Amino acid sequence: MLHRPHQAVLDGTLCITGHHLIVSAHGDEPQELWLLHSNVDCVERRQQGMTGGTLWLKCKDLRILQLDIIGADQFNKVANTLEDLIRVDPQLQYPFFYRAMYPVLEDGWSTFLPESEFSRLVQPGDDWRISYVNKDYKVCASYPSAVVVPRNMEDSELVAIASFRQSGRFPVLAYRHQANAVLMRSGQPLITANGRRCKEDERLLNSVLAREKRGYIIDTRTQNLAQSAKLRGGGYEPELHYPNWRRVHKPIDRHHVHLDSLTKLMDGVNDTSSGTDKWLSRLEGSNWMNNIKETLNCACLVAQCLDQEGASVLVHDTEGLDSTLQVTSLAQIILNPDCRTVRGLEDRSPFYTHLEDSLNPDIQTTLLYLVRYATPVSGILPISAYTHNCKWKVLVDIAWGTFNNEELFEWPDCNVHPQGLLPNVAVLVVFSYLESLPTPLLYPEDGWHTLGHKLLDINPKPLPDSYPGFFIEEMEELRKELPDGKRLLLDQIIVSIAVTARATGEFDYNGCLQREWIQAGHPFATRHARSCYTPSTQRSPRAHSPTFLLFLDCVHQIHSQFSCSFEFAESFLVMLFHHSYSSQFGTFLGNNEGERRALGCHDRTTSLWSYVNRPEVLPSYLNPMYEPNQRVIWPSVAPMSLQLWSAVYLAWVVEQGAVEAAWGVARELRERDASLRSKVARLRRQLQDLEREALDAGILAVPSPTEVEVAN
Amino acid sequence: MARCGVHLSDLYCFHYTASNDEIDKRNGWDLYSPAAEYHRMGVPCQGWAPTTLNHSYEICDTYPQELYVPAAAPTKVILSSSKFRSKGRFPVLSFLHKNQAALCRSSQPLAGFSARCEEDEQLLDCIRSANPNAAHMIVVDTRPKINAMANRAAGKGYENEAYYENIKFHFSGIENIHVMRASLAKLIETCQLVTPSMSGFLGGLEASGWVKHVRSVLETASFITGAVAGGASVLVHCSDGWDRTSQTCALAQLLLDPYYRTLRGFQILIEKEWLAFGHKFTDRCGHIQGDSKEVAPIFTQFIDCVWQLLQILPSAFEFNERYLLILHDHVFSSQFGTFIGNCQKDRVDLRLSERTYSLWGYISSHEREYRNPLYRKDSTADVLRLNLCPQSIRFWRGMYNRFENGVHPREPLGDLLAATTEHTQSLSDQADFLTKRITWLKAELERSNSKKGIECDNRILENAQQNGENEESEIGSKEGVCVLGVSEIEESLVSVGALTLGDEGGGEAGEVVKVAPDATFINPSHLVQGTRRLSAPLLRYQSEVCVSPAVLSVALDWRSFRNIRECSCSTPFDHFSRKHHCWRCGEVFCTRCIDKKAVLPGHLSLRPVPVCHPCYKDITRSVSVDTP
Repeated sequence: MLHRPHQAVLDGTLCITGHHLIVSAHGDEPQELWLLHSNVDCVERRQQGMTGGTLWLKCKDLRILQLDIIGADQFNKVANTLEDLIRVDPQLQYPFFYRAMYPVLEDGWSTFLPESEFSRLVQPGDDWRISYVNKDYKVCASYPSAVVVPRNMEDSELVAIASFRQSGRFPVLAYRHQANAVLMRSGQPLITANGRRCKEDERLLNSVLAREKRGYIIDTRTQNLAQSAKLRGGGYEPELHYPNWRRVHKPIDRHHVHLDSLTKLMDGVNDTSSGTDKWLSRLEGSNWMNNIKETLNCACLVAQCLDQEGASVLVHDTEGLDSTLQVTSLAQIILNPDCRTVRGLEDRSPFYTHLEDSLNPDIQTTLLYLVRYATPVSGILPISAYTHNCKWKVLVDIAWGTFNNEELFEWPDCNVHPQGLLPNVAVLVVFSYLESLPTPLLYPEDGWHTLGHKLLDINPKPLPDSYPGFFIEEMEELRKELPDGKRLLLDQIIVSIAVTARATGEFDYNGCLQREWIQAGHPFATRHARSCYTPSTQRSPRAHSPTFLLFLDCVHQIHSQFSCSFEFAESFLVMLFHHSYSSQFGTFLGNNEGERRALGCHDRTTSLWSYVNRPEVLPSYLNPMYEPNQRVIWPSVAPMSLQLWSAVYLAWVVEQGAVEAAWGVARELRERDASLRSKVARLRRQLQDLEREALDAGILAVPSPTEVEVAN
Repeated sequence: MARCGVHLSDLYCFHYTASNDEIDKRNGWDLYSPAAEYHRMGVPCQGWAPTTLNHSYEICDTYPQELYVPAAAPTKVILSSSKFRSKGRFPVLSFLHKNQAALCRSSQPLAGFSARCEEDEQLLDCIRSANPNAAHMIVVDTRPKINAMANRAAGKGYENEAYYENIKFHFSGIENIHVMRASLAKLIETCQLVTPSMSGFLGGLEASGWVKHVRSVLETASFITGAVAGGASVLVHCSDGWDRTSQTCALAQLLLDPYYRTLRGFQILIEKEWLAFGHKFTDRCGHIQGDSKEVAPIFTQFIDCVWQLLQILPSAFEFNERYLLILHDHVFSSQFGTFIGNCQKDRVDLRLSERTYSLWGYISSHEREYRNPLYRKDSTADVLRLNLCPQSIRFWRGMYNRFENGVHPREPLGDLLAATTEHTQSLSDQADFLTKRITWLKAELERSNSKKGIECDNRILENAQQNGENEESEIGSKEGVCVLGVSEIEESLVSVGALTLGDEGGGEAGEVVKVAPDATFINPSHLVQGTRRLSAPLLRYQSEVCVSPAVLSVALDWRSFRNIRECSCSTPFDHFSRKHHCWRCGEVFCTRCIDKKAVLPGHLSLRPVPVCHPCYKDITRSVSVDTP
């Protein structure tokens, strides 16, 4: 007998496999519950003599399942087995056995290669460089193999600094806001009570600052804590030795208390029978909302320093693994519009939206716009074109050398004169690599559906960075096959053009997560080993903490205040929460890159991103209300602006179906509007063609220019 | 808020005249007709009949003229029952569910410790037996039992269970008006803390008890709903039966009948449960100086409860948060006569329907602003059943922190979706127009292909073919092409008229018939005027693509609401001001700048749609040019 929240009681057979607990219903209706063992936080048992007993499975996704088992013997066996299975060796965990049942089109593991990932942080001729000093994870166990550091710092100096910073976490670059305002993070300096110094560290920090600029060191501990850390071998940067840096203590509760806070919150949430007063006082007592407020507050402060003062910021707490990461990643979400997209869909300005439907048949004009927004990478302009909802993706490559690029770049934005463009443009239009796309392509009546597949045949593999492309002659061939050969290829294919460098990934939200959490060494395995339902005797506040959930909650708060500025929907955050605790994917395994490498995650598990980026999956996580917003978004941190995240904490207590349905309605409204918009634009175009034809046939007439002048 | 005057006749509503001539003073006053509303519920019927006993307010001056009572109850019983009930408010029908279970309301009985009124017992029995489907009925006393008991000392109290047969009694514990007044005061205090800490805020929220009270009202309503939906008739009362009773009865009906969840239905519900049954608006809202002990946020609380439902079930209601806020505003503002006075008799005596405007009239002319874009008629069951655990009741920031601009979501979804819906309407209308035009052109082309060689005399003004080359000069020279000779246009008009007629069979020639979409097709002033307002890239592409100016009279894209801080009339937008789009140019305007409606030639339906003042001028000017 299984009691689940919001669902009817299920009477069935229990089956425990190596990784799952499966309950399948007796009777005709196939009803099953699959639960990963790693999702179970704790098992509570109540035996009723020899007749059996009740098990409560308290899950890390905050759900509580009740399992009634008949027979004392069976009951005990089940309980013991489960208790053993919920904490197995990471090597034996499900991700290592899970095989994706779908073709992996884009390997999530390779989406975030450090070189490509940092390509935008580091540009040639820059003050920053990628260092591989940590390639064996020896300098700092929790850092990735590649980090970005100031160009003028030698690797040997970095090693020296590593010994001066907690856990070897020397200052590295997290984000560049404007030219000179950079965001860095590190561990605390090991000043100790003796006032130890490290010349290299001082030099590194000073070299970051532009002349006569001051930087801010944001310490997320209180002054007292930082002071007392000295006695334990830690400390903070004394102003004497870092004269150009101003230190600000902006205290956030340390991660030690967060699990307790969450436990209290969930105690309140799961008690639905007590009164309102008790609920509110528990909500207050849990301090969870206050944690959110403080974290957001600190992130806003960092963002302010970067954006409004143009100053560089270094953030650290003790280890630089928890609140530091929260603050640096939140600051990026506030500041950087790209962090609010799911992936790479940057800069879909109104400009592009109009390009979409009313595209000028002049291929040159189109190209101009493509070129203007593209970033040159190794001689090829890589451009992706997306439809509105990302279901279809076309890559358009423009061979760099074939047209006169100087001229192209000199054209002013608005005075495009079609005649002035180049005749021999080589356009390489390449396929959609989402080949399994079920929906018909753009204008099936024009024969583009078949064309799409034709292109696929030519190059069925995803593009490497230096894809050679094929040339205009081939395109001509393709064009001949069109029923209506009049139109140019780009006019048809480019739906909504979002230019994206193939190498990106680092600045979207996933990239932000990847860089600031997964690679930066947030110890997911340790922090998420236990969650709030584990009895306090079995947990260690220092090791276990819902730091990441707190971060997601903060993102959710910003999301709910700027609900159109994020490309992903709230459900995406909820999904991340679930997978970060328990997942069939390897993305959140291990504590840091070193451990993941040792476990062989890259080869032996599937990446969450491989799953999420599939065209069948991604649209469901997209925000129907999204309108790209290039501005900095400043969230309100007033207590009344922050709301309890019902989709996570209340999901199993209060039915969320009506709210989800409302989102469905919203999605429907927006989709209908978008499709109608393209329909109208298409009709307008069709009308234009017809009218032109009518003009030729003499049915319609045009006033001659002289007449117009006369009228004037 | 007009809390200045001593006399009701000093109130603003007696002096207010709507600036907009379109609203007639009579609008909205005839919205609620008890006969029609009860007829909708299927009354009169076998069990229930109207009574004229209160026709000139003789039995109960706080009740309306039209009352519905059990058909089986003799007049004598009613008269005696009314004497036994506080303020004469005897049990009457408020709502009849389709399962024949009735929702009735009254005031408390004057039972004291031992008094008894057999007629009152009879009346309740009549109510019970009017429902053939249940052997018992339920009496809900919305007060805490202890309050009800205390009232006995004053000769009032509650029904003695020993005397009433087949009745289940239920106390539901909603506090009285004084508690609510103090509670809201504390809540407001919390909201106005200068730099509130999280615990200060949550602590204040808890200490005010407001959320708790809201929940208790909702729970009672939910209990009543359950009972009625379960087939039993229910009688609800509190002390005088005009505060808690109005709240809970109205909410229960909102949960029971989807009709009340529509814009209009909700107005009817307020007319019936609050206005007709005598909620003392003037006293409770403090319209004029009076006893401060009589002031209480009972209606505010009701509105809050409705908002909670809206949060829990976002698709179940046709109206939105703004609608609740405007209702709340005007209950207090006394700009409209609707909520003046304490009961129907007061309002009749004051001749409000002749001397003042009705809020309903105003709302019906602004309905667009109050529609919930997420509303789906059949998305929810007829009877709403709720999980009212403490966690699902929230603090209504939009109400209590309303004027603090900083704390609200920066990108309110509701308005955006509403705009999307309107945009969709506009586009679908244009799609129809384009389809028609394309069909026509295709047919025409075919005809011309078949009759090649036949000279086509018809001449249509056509400018956009050369747009590609001309556009810049056109736009550059500002007034440019927009002024064409009147004769030009006239001529072309004639030709289109002829052409269209010819197309349709050529039967009735002779007179120039203006077929609107086609006729306006040729007015080039639309093109230039229409597009100059658009942002540069938009303009470029649209003018390149579109040949016919009429096509461009409908904006393809509407400007995003984002980052628009003020209207072109320099009225700043705050969080709650609704932003509107002009359907012609797609720009954003405030309510006052978009009060004009005009027909756009690019719409097939030719329905008047909202346009901004400049566009309105353009359109009217071009019309006057068209028809000299």
